[in-house]
Amino acid sequence: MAWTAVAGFDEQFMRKLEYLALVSKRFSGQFKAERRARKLGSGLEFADFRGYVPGDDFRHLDWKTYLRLGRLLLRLYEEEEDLPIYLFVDCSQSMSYGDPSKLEYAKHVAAALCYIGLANLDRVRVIAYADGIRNEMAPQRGRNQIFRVFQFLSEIDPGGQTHGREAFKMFCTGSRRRGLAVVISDFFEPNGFEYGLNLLRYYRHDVFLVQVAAHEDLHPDLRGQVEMVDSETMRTRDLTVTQTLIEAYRREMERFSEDIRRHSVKYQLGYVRTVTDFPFEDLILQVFRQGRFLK
Amino acid sequence: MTFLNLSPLAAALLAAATAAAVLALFFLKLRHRRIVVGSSLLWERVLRDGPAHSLIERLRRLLSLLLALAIALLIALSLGRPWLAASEGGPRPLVIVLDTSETMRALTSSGRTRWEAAVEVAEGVLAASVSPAGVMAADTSGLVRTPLTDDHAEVRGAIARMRPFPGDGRFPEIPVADARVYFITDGVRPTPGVPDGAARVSVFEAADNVGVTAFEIADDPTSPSGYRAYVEVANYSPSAKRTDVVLAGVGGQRIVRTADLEPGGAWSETFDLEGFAGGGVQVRARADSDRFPADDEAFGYLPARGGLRVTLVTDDAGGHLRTLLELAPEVELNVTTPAAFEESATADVYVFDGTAPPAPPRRPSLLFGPPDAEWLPRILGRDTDIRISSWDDTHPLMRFVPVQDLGIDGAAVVDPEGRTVVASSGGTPLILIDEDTGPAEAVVVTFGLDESDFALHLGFPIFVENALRWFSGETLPENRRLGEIEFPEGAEGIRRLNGTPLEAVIRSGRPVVQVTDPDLLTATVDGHRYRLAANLTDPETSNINGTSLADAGAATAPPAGNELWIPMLLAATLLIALEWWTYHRRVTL
Repeated sequence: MAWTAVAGFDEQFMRKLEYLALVSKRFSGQFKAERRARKLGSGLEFADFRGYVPGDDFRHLDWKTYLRLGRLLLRLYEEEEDLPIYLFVDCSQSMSYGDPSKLEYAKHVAAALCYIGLANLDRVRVIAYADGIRNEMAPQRGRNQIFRVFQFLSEIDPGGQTHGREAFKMFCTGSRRRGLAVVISDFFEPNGFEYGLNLLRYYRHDVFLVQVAAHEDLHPDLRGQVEMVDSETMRTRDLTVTQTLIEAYRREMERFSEDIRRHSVKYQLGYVRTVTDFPFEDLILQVFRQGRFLK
Repeated sequence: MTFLNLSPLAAALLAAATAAAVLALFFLKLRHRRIVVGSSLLWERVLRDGPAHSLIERLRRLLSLLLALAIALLIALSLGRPWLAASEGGPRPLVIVLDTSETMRALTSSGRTRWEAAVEVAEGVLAASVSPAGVMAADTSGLVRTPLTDDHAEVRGAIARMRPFPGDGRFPEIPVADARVYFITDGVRPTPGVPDGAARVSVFEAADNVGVTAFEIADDPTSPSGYRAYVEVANYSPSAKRTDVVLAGVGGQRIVRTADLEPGGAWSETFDLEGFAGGGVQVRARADSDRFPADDEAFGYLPARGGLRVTLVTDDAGGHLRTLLELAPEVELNVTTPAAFEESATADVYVFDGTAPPAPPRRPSLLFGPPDAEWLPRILGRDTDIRISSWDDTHPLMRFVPVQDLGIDGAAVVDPEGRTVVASSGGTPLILIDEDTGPAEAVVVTFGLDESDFALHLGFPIFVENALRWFSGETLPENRRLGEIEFPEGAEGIRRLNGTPLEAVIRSGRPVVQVTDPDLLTATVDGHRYRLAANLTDPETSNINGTSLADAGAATAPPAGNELWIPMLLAATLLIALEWWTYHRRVTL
């Protein structure tokens, strides 16, 4: 397949996606049996019985059982449907930090995951969020929709504060099918990243977290007297950066990442952490190997 | 702690200004770089919970300011030369006595004089001593310069006004009992009267010195109009010295000798001043590394020759007196008889041989065997038993004149009242000087030349020469030691050789001047020019290494006070190094 460069995605990236597409086929075949929807409905394969309640479709009543037992039971079938994949890309101002920026890295990761999802005929939807949903792409299906995804991703600009709870609340209050919710963010939320993720969990989405950290987040190149400016809030703070403080910051960063990982383990969420100087194709393979992306 | 260079107010102002400057610079330094980070979420957590808010971290933030303040204050206050005074014993008065002898002007290896070192030691003693009973300053002029006072500034002012001076010194009478006495000296000149309990603080330091220890110009007995100069130079250095001795006259005459002098050795020579014109004469000794300039030169005076117009009044056309005056190179002689004698405006001196004018002449006169005259000493009789028994050989008239073997047949017996007798035979005056009767001096010889062998005597030409010089005012000057020099009563217009006037104080009716450097002084006394050579020329003073404090235990150390500027600067250096070290490890700002 020949790729055409789209703004923000150069030819080299396209080649990497091609490679990933081949890899995804291999993984898709392996996990195809697991991709049935849990929803019971009008499929062909019998799943279970349940008692009739007024309003049920008469066509699914099991008359033979009624004749034998005298009770009205309804036959249930497993409904076969495609898997909705929601890719939440954090586009708050803090994601513009780093070189390359976390947002650029997140876009590449999102594009790669989108491509894999589209290739498996899943319904892929990309949502850009910050202090709310900033932009939302219509659901796409089929590999040839990848250019729309590219177009959408390339139009995402950083801005605003991170407020996942608000964004996920807006998302969940709409009539959404449950699906795989991949959140790509640095999770620097003043109010705590857990609240937003809990909403997704309450609405029974299968949540997968990709924590993106810039190299500068892990190894801040600060020394001496600085006036530190928060890029989201523009709040300033004078501080003296000493080696001790740098080490304390690194420990805090580790603790922060560990908190996200523990939260993921506790609620059986998928989690992967990456740094912007880590090759994103390796990251994608790591995601596949965890096995949560393609359930 | 006291400051030698600053008053307490000045020290406080300096400290305040320094602290203000450091604080201003510190807060200017704290203008931070502006750094944008993606999110300050984690930083806020670190700062809220982490070490930045701990007590140690807050102290660490202050450490930089404290270090800067400490460094600046240490450097600034060290400029004021702080001293830490040491308390000694009970409340005893403190007396500081400085040796003001001439040898204290000797230079030390640092380029300062012993005197300057002594002043510094005195200030150190003053600063290092806590004496609630008061302080007093004195010197070896024998004077106590301040009363007992607790005002150190007054004492410092008195010490600053002291100066070394030539001459013998003596220890002052200490007017307070049980005082701690510090005598700061080089121990060279003997100072009588030092109390037993006085602590001698030595400022002695061995130094090279070659000095003129004798210089005298005198008549040449072998030549009626000649002079000779005696020069002695001595080496008091610890090492041998090659010395150039230069004798120079005002007319550009110059004699140079080079002498190699061993330590303690001396060189002397008598110079014939035949080629020298009248006027000042200087001798100068030049040697390498000489540390005591006060004795390197000495001055004398050579009387001027020639130009004296003498009128001889005599009946003896071919006498010895006429011959002598005709041969004298500096005399323009005019001879006349008593009958033809008239006073002339062109005569400087009259010589009367066996005659005398009826009235005192307006010019000085020398009279041999004069007859009775109203203005002359009255003749009482005649004495034929004449044997000169006394004469004043210190008088310029009688210098180098041997008269003890004169043969005199007879002399007039005169009343010497109001006259100065410079030679006499028992009670009979033979040579008198009359300075008051007439308008000019008169020298009266009471016997005639034909009544004695004086005209044939060896001392006759010298006597006549002395008389003419004395009349002309051109006499050899007196030699005096440096220090306080007393001039004759009525002396005025006292000047140095270079023409600078000297301030004189009148003591017992006589002008007294202070002379600290070798010089040739002139003054006017009763219309006559009076000259005086002031020189050091003292072997005891030139021997600047002859200290009595060389023996161990002869001198004591000044009282223990600590000058703090060196440790303060060392501490500042250490703090700078510490600040550098901590800054580069981000411990300080």
